[in-house]
Amino acid sequence: MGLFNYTPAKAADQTPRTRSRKGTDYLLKLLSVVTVIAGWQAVAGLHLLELPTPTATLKVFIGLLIKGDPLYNMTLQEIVWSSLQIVIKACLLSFVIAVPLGVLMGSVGWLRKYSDTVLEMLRPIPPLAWIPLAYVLFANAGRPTEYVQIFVVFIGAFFPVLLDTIHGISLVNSIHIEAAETMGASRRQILLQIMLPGALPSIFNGIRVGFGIGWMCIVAAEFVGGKMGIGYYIWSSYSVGGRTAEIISGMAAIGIVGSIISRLVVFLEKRLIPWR
Amino acid sequence: MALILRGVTHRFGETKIFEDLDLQVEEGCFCCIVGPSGCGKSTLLRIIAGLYRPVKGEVLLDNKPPSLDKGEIGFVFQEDALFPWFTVEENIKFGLRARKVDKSSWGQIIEHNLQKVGLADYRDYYPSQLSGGMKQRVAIARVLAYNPKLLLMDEPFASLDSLNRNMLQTELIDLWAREKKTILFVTHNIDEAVFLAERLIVMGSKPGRIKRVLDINLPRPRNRTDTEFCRNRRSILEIIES
Ligand SMILES: Nc1ncnc2c1ncn2[C@@H]1O[C@H](COP(=O)(O)OP(=O)(O)OP(=O)(O)O)[C@@H](O)[C@H]1O
Ligand SMILES: [Mg+2]
Repeated sequence: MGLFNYTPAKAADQTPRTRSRKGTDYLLKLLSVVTVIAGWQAVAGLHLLELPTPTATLKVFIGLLIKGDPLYNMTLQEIVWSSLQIVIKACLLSFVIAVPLGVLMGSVGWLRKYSDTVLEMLRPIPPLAWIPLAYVLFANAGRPTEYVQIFVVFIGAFFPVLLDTIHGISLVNSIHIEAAETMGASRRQILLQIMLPGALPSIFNGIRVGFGIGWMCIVAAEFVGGKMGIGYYIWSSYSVGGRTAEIISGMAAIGIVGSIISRLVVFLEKRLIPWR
Repeated sequence: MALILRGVTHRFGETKIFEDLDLQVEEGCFCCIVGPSGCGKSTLLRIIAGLYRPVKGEVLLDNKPPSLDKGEIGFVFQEDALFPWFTVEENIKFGLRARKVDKSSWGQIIEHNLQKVGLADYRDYYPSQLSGGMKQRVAIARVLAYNPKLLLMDEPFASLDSLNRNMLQTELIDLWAREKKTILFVTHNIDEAVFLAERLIVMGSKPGRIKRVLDINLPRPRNRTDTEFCRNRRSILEIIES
């Protein structure tokens, strides 16, 4: 008996408890979805609001995925993809600029002070407030609408990434920098091999948030102008009238894509930060 | 590497840490530093390494002020200073790259130094997968790998169990006897100090100062149960508590 028998007994005792907890968690998640759908069904069924029922909407949604929308001659995936392309372009552009800038601003004191005032003035301006000015600025460009949309998404994604990168650099443990310095590491080596990896978890958080905001910005930017994309699709579906199921389907697509992006970034983070 | 401190004064804001501190350590000396917590032992090592610049006074290593880019110093920190994003092997490589050690010899150096600290099988582990004691061994291997002339060790064995601690002490003494490095070794453990040191620096606090410098002339290998050993330990304890 003694020590060796005790440990497995304790372990066996705990396993079912955690498993049943997981079971309840799962049930709760399911229940929350069921509640929303049941509420929706009640509101629509009793004609409290002019809403299509969940089943009718699902039918339209699946139809949009398979056959597409006859008015636009496009499937829902194609519509979403055209928005997504712009978001990917704009977000990548913004990360490529914001991460190095954030690393520099976080590690070079005078640069931080130099740019702080301007950034603090620009940061509170909502990305959408840039739309009119952007149309003026890109009026003579080849495809003004696309440029404006890229610009607005860029602005939306830029600040979270920049601020989280700066924050991440400030969180880098000074003992790591001191250790590198006593080994005679160069400034460049410290920046790339100590500061950057030390800040990476925070940078990834910024990228996740940045993508999310970028995805919101594209929808709004497409309301205002253009003849493409998911924002344009739900807005014009409203203008046509009587297409509530299409509007809701579009909204669902926005939600699904947004959460896929966020999961993808988290997945990528786990792969790129194996040491945690 | 000979070390000289002259009139070193240091403050953090308004708090005085050292006032006019003098110290000389000859080349090849194994020097232990003991003193109450907060008296400035870690700060002293950082000043010697050139991480902090003293407010007044000078530090000379072989007649030159300490310079970080030469990497003549191996610093083993009191805190866990391994880079968590690098594996054990990559941590050692960082120092070799910084010191511009010839790349063709890296493999052998890493193997050799990990063997020295008994972690040859852990090359590809991340620090988060190691125990506190194992991390400290890697930190020592990382520093030994680029062969610095002066070793500054800030309570390197404090987190080890006594068996491992005794083993590493013996290995450190062997290394020192073989390679005649100058070593400054901070410890809270009198036993450890008497076992290791040729010279013992007893520090006092408020402000930090050097209370006594003693030579420990016990023959090596030293034996912790020896009557001479115990007598030394007792008299040092009396000096510290006085
Ligand atoms: N970066 C810093 N800024 C301000 N004060 C500091 C800093 N580092 C240390 N101090 C102060 O300086 C004094 C000496 O600290 P130090 O870490 O050198 O002590 P120590 O002798 O190494 O103590 P311990 O034995 O606990 O490690 C302490 O009072 C501490 O509060
Ligand atoms: Mg200390």
